[in-house]
Amino acid sequence: MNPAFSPFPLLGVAHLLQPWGEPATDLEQLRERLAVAPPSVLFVHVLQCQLRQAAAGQQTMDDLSHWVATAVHDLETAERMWFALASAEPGAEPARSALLEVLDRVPAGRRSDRRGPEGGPFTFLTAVSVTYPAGEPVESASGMMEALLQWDRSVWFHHLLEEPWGQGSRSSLALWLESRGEHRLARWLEESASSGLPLELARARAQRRWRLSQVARRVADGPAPGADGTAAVRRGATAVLARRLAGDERSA
Amino acid sequence: MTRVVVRTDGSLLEGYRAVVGDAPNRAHEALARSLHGHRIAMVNSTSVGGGVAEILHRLVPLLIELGIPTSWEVMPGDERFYALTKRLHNALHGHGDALSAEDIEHYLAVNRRAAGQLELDADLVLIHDPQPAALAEIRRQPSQRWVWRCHIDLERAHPDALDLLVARVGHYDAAIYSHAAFMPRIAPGFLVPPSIDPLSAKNSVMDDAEVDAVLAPFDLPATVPWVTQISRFDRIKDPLGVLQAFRMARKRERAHLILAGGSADDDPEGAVVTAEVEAAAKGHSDVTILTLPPDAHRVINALQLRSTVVVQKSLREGFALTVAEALWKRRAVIASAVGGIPLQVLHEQTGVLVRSVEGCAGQMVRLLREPALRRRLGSAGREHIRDNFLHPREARDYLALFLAVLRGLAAAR
Repeated sequence: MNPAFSPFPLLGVAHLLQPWGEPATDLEQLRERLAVAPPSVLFVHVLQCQLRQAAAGQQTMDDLSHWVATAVHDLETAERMWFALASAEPGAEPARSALLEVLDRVPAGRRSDRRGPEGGPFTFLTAVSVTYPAGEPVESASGMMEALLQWDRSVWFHHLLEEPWGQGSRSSLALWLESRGEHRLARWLEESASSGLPLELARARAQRRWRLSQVARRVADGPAPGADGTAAVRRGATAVLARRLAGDERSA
Repeated sequence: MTRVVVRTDGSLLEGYRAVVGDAPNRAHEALARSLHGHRIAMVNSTSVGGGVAEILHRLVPLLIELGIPTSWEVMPGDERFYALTKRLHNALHGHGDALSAEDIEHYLAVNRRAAGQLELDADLVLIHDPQPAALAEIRRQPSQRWVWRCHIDLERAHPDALDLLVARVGHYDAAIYSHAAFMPRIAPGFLVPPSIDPLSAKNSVMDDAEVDAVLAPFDLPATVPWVTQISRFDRIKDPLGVLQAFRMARKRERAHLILAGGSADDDPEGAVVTAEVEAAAKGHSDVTILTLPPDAHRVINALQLRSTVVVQKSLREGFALTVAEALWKRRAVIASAVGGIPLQVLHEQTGVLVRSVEGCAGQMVRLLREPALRRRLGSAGREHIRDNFLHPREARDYLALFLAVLRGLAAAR
């Protein structure tokens, strides 16, 4: 069956956390554990933290860089880890390679010297993702956007971040939109999600672009000049929409 | 009578909706729909007093409001059983000795007797803490799922007490812990971080007049900003370190320090530490030591609301819910990067993390001087707590765990 004709089942997700391995007390142990950690551990500390920190007003550090910066007090290594992760392709293996490359640049002897406080080792966690249907399957691009913006942010996270990270492929949601001819919307969503912005800011940005596109679409779909209205009437309608949109943006 | 009658009028979901918005409730309802047709039973050892009963008085009605048939059974026992399980509880916390062979036999006998009295036919049975932990090996049916919920930090547990517990937990499909520090790897263990209740006396909204009235008996200065640490008087909370940091900060900025807390019943050192702190503060009119009873929830709420800076300079921590409480009240928080604190305090985003007395002193001065910074941190801190450390998030974790266990996901790990 052509996917364009099938409704898309949106899913929310809750992550059940489990500890993994021994905690790390210094950079050497951090490096050792990261080298062998299962992908789900990297998922929790590199990607899932974006869901936990979704409402942050500015870009935040992943769990690992945050620990190195604030518990170990090695800001230089933390910054490098943070940037390396931000620049890496989605997925556990690219994240692992990026982190190990940074940690390998710190001489082994110094890695052991750079420790967290006695009560503050880094505890590694893994997660089981429990998905649940987020309402009825959506049948149109506008229904999709409405649901993505109204449901809790785990729906956005699951489809646009978790799924591509875990499968090493594009989001099935974006592919579904493309199959319905919504190439631009699919691209916006993917770009917003992978922008590195805190999740809520990314979602708000996508919302604004979506509404702007709807204004443009309504104007374009309006009656031809002189058909049954005047240009002034259309300008008036556009101004009303633009004011409403500006109000939405200010409150976003 | 073993069943607790839980009445609900639908107001809990509405109450939480007012605090966290529509989206989390919608997620709860979706998870609850996925649990359709399943019944849950909760079992603990008391319906009144104590943290577990407090949690169940919220969680059970919430599940019922979500349409999940949920019952709450209380384990019947005798005087000897309660005394020995109190000793077991203390031993699991690292205080005192483990149980004798006769004690263990009595513990198992009471569990066997209770297994015949309690209504435990639900699809999923959630057992809280060690007292009813032996019920699973006595009573479980093949079609059922049993989960054990540990509310105790087991990091310093007496080895014999732990052995007794581990032997019980092996009969469960999954176990839930609050702290990652120590989880016996017998049944699949899940981490459900604790949370605060925004509708409780400790965290609900109070206006200025209420705060004034609650704090009036303590004669605290009204015209200087307060720096406050609310924690039991325990060396690992480092009250003397806070005092030292405050003395350094006080040379550069005017403020009043409040160290408020009690001591745990099972902590014999509490009185000693309180005396040490009082001696160190003696003669300093800009320091107040408040010893509070365990039910001083509104006083703690008022102190946190009125404080300019809240400190949690612990040397070791489980989770430190006092940090979540302060952040929820939009306070500027200074804390150590230990235990669960870095999950709550994102450095320079929702608060500041420090590692030394000098660092703590420097941040006290900085935050006392910069109201705009305090507002920014406080506002981001509240949002972070709203998303991650309020009861609705904990309820969602429970629902997801029930679903995972009933789907067999937990067993597959």
